[in-house]
Amino acid sequence: MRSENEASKPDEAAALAEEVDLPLERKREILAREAALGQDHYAFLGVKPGASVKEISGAYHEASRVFHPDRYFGKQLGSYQARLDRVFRRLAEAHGTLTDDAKRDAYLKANPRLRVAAAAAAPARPPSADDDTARQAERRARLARHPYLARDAKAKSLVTEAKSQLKSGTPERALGLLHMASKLDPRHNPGAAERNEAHAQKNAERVKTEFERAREALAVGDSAAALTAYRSILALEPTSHEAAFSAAQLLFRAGAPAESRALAQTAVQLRGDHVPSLVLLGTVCGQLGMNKLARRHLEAALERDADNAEAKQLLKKLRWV
Amino acid sequence: MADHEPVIGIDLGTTNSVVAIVQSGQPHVIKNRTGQSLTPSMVAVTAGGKRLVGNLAKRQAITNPENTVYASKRLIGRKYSSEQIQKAREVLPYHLVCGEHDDVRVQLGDRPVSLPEVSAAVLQELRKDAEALLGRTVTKAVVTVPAYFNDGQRQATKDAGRIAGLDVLRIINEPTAAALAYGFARNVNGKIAVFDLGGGTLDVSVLDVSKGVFEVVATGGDTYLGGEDFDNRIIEWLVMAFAKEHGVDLRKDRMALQRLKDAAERAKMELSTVQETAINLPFLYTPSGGTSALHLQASLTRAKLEELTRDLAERTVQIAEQVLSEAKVKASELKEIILVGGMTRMPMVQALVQRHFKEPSKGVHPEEVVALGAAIQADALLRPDSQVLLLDVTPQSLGVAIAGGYTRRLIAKNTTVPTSVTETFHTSRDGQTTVKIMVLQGESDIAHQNELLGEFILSGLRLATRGEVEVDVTFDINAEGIVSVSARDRETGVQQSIIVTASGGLTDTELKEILEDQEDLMLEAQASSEVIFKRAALETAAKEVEALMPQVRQLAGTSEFGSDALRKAEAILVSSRAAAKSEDIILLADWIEQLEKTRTLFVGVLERLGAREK
Repeated sequence: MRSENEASKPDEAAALAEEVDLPLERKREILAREAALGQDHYAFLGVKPGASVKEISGAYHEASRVFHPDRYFGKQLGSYQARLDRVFRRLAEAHGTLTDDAKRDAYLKANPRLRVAAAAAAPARPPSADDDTARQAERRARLARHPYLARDAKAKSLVTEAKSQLKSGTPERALGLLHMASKLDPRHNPGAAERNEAHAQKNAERVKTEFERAREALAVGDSAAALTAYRSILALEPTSHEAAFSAAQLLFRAGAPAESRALAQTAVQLRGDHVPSLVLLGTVCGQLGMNKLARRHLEAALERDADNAEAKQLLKKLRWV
Repeated sequence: MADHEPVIGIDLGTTNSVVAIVQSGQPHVIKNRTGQSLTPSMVAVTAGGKRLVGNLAKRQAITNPENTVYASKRLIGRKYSSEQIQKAREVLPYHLVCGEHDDVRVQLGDRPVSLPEVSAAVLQELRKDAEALLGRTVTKAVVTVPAYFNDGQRQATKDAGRIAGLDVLRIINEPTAAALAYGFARNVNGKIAVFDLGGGTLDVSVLDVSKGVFEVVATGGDTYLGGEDFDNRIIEWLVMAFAKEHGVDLRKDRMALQRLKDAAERAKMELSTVQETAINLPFLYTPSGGTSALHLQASLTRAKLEELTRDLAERTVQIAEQVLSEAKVKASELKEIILVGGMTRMPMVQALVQRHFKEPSKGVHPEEVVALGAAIQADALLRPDSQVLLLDVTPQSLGVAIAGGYTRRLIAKNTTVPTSVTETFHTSRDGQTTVKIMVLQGESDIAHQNELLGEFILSGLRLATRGEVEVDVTFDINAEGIVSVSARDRETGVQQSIIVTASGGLTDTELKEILEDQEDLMLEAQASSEVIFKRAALETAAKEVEALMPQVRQLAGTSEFGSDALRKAEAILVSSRAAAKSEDIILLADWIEQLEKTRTLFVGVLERLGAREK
């Protein structure tokens, strides 16, 4: 590190001498920040570890005023163009990391020295009345220092958070949180019930969107896409009669009776009273030469709907074969 | 300072365009030569071959519909074969023809004109208006586009500027421009939300403003929800009533439908200020067989309109809530919420915004605010002592296509630009010496559901087994929003790159076919060790279940339970194998859990039933 710094001295002189549309003061500022690229996110933004989101954003905006490339639009910048770019990108990265809870936690985990400093800084701050999150962070930091309570409390708070995510209909986030919770405390496996609910919610949501996708695909005549959608529905919810039946129908129309039969069979098993399913299964079986089976299914269809013309006609044909 | 060359801000709208400039620190709209601030975005060619733009074009539109182009913004940057264009062809009175590269052209008089040329005619008109006011030439501008515009549409808009003799310094998003204008005029500090409900789309943006720095925190919305959907509800209602009365379906008659559309839009607009309006369309339908023509007469109240469209309005605020929650901003934190776009004049929309968020900010001129914002950004770029700085974001995610037809996202949407990201990938085949980098824009995990921005090939890789050769892919977006992508072989340092300049503009199916053809050339994403571990665990679990299947199948014949459980197990096996390709650890863990449950179930069943059999 040090040797690099020394080596960069003559470079710095050369950079300062470069003829560009920047005042000397600004050049120095840019070079200084560039030399600081190796610092941690907090130091680079010029805030203390554990600074609030407000402080971080403020520092980021202030620095952007100086280092954003747009401030020098249309100017002759020479090597400073790339320098500014590097500095601003780093500022944006630091800001993005430190203002996102998940990213910040990961960053602090990777930098234990900062975590200690951040945790120490948090309670020192005077608690402000409107800053709920700050108080919570403070509590968490205090607990984090207690080896026995920390895990338990963290897991509990994760489950609570997951619950609220579930309520607001974002099961994916809830699952992520629950996963973390169970990792923290694998023996008690907290949040098992919530996890089930989250799965159910997620599946239901996906099933809904897949049905939607199938509908859209059918509307534009893309039966291949519709079929894929129905198949994913069946994977998520093997008892969906509508998906099985629709997929079987599509396959049959596409001239794949063998594949269609398996799905039609599923559809009939799921809802034995659904006449169109029975008729479809019968038709498919007939096409595959399984006349006996075909007859049985068509008869079953007629048992439930004696006037089904399609079934009647097919049955008549089969009797002649 | 007064010396620097004037830069204008232009809101190139679907129906109307506006030009503005900052003079002595204050932004204001430049009126056109007929004294209005709005210039219709219309271009026409008369029978004599004369080109008319703006008001002049609008005035003769009814008598010359085939040679009057309007709403060309909906078409710009799209491919002729795309669904939107094919749909538009059916309803537009002017003729669209296919250009050389599947681009759209408009038949104007005896010449097919490209869409950037059409927009250029409007831009040129605005430029002339500005020059007339300033008394000097103008060659630089900032132009706004909807937030949902993709790269191709942005490039086409830039092209239009170039044709009009304007150097487009920057393309910025309309909601962002609105926030700039609002925040600039009132010196706001804090979070601002912009709710922009236009004719066809909803854009929602959240900005964090402090002392002139405007940081875009998030943008989002729905590209298929706008004023037209509201109009369609009115049309449906009219058509139903007409069918009931006369037994005629008006939707089959193109001419009648066009008239219904205009009438519905007009009625909707009127109901923003009055409680009731009459819809009169005489001689709307002439039945075949010589009977006399049918007229449509109806009266629509504001209450009825609200009943017809309540769900649409509810959805707009729901989407806005979603964008806010993505930005992790609570409604109570918002300093201001600005309404932009004609549809926000509807009292129900305003009331819903107020109920869900807060009272919309007053004193915004929805037609002018966007152009003013563009002018402010233009001024900020060129004036060294400007206090205004816009920290903009990428509106859509960027990534590459990887093996299996998936997308690997490198830059997520709402990332502040300039930015760059590098990620290491590896070869997906044994002996693969060539890789193809396909740059995608969009939010879908399935590669072909995104927009292809460009592609290139990196060849000359070392012959090795799958996964051994590593390639670094770097995405870079500069402050101007220009995307460049490079790929570098880690061993040899061989590098290839492109600067994305124009959209590939392929349709969904075309892209899918290409991806399938090129499957051999794709890269694989580097899986983290945890993912690899989970994948292995999943495979083991799946094999265990499979091993038990024959035994269970044997028993299935004798039990009701068996066949049902077997079917479920089969489904789980198929889906878990499909999920094994995913990188989502949680998803992988889910499927492992499912497989393990199945295994426990099978073991239990075999023990119990097996014992009984014996």
